[in-house]
Amino acid sequence: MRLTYYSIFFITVLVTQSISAQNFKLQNIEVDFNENSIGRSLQLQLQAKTGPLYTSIGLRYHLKQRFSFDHTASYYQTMYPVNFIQRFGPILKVIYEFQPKNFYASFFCGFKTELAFMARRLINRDGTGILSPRFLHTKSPMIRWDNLLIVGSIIPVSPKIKFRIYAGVGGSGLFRIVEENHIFLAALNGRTSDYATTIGCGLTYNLFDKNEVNTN
Amino acid sequence: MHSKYYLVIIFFTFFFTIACYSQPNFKLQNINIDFNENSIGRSFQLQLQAKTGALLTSVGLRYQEKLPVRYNFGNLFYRKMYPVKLIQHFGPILEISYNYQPKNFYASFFAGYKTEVGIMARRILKLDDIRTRTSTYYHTKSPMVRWDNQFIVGSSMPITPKIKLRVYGGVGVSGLFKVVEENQSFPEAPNGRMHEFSASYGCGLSYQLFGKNVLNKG
Repeated sequence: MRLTYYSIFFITVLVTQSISAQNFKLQNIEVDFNENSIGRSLQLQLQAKTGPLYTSIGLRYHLKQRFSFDHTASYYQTMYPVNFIQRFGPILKVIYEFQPKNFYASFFCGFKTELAFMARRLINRDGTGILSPRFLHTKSPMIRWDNLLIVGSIIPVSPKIKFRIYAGVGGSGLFRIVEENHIFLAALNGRTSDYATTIGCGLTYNLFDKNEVNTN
Repeated sequence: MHSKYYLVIIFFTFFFTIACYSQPNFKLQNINIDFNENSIGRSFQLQLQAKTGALLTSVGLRYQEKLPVRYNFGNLFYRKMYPVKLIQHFGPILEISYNYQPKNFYASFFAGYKTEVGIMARRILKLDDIRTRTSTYYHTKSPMVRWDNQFIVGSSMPITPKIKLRVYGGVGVSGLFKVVEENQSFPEAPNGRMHEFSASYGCGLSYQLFGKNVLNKG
């Protein structure tokens, strides 16, 4: 169990080190509020620039949400951390930024991937009428891997700060689905895939320089 | 009965707008399109904004979106404003805000008062029925009136010389009127009136009708 976390931490450090050693230049720190198919999270990322591409590596902190579900779903399924370390997960983002003429704002598109290691919560609805539903948790940790194509805009706030807003669509891979299979036969070998979407906004702080606003 | 309410609101909105815009120091400046979520519900909003001195005054209309049924663990009954016919999707908005432009910021910040009126039914969902996926909805007598009053703060950020992005949030109080049929379940409004805490957040685009946004360079 701990081995999985240590492995990811180790790989993240190695990737970051090797990236920093080349022609990458650490440039921004990003703080995001994000909602995707894993759940709602706060995200902290370091962003480096190499040519026209920006690469961000960071961590997500999963927010536990109040139980709510909609009319059309028989079961409510969402990723749910059952211990503190499961709130954290790695993020990798690579984007291309485009600055149109006559715009102060710039636009970007790219790829974003996120990993979550936590349980998935199912709700037995029998108790909802009396406000005492029971939660069933999948064997922990289950893995959800989001891969998303994102588009967004970066808007200047001050010479050091920019505001970002973005959305994306993609696919999720779900692994280690064990206990759910007595209800959901869709993952007989413990794996399945799902449609995924994301929406988010955040602030970018320029660590070393000042943002230059396009005034053409 | 319903027509009378709508006519009164249209009458007041029309005369208020005319009175505002006929003032010599009012200058029509922006058109705002917002996506907003508040205690009335989720809506798209279209507003005309005029400037008088340091204050910006907006008058406009909201278009209520119908949302799928969701309810929270903490609520025994789900209650949400819900339009039962087309005209109930619409409601008036008034916003008055003070705009502050800090030095060394491209963005400006604003704080002010925003009020919205929703004239529609309120939908109640009986939770016991949701297990069978054949939920039963109870509509309160239509129209019920929900009047949101909020203190909002936000920021306006330049996208182009003509367009700005606005992001804002707010808190305040809602007044509910004509609460009639619910009282068989909720005896909290025995005279048909009650009030509630309300919150709001939204974002949108502001298009400058005349002239260009001057980018503040400190």
